[in-house]
Amino acid sequence: MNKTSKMVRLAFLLAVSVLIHYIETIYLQLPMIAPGVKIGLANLVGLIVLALYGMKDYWMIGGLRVLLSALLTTGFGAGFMISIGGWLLASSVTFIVLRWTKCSIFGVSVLGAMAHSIGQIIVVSIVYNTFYMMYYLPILIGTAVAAGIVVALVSVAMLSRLKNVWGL
Amino acid sequence: MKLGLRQNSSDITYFCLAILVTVSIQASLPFFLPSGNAQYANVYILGELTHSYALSQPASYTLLQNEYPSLLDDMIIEIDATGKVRVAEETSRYHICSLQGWVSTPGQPIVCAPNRVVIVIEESGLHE
Repeated sequence: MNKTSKMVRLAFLLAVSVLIHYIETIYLQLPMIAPGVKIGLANLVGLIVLALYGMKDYWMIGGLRVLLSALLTTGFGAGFMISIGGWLLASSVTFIVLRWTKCSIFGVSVLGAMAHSIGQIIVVSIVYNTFYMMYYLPILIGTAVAAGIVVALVSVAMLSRLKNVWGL
Repeated sequence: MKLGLRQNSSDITYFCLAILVTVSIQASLPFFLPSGNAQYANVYILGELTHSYALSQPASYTLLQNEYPSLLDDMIIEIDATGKVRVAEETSRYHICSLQGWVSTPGQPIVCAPNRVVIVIEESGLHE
């Protein structure tokens, strides 16, 4: 695969992840479960990038998604810091899991989703100077485990189709 | 570092570990978060306790934006007859804290991130 082809595909995947994140933020929040609970569908694209192009592009697409989503939605205030916290911890855990364990996409997805929730709660606790967000940690982790499995299942289904379409 | 697409025994091990961590956190929370009787809805703005509203009677309180510049607009906090508290009106993009609804459990926070407000039910209030 040449560089241009890869760049175009990554740009496409980035656009899709920003769009999914935008739709999820506007329409699919579940504050009645706990504030900030989302399925994390944008990670679908992250897992596809990770499977197709590796860790370096996974970090790049994730970081750019956080930046572009901030431009489109929350701006660069507290919401951005919370997103950065979630992305940093999730990406670091994804790297560790992929490097030092034998986990498949399912393990990577679940542990990454858990780390994302924990990262966000840590940032909220620091930014708002309150320990009380820990109340929601078990709910957020439980949701992350369920969402991580669903996202991994959809990623696997999409990867097989993408590989056919893109001839990978 | 190749990402496998089939679930394996390592995944199951880490899933079990994840569930164990969740259960452990849940079990340890009462040691860290306030418990006891739900007496007050304490309002923290920018991390500082500014108001304590008694939960013993229904009431409605307004936090004024011109008193607290971190608020995006005036915020209305309601307490019902059964001692539950909610944010009835606030200004934010997604209205997460008002959509959260009524809260009655000690230690469970209502977090209004864009307004920098956290409301927590606790046993003691500002002047105790």
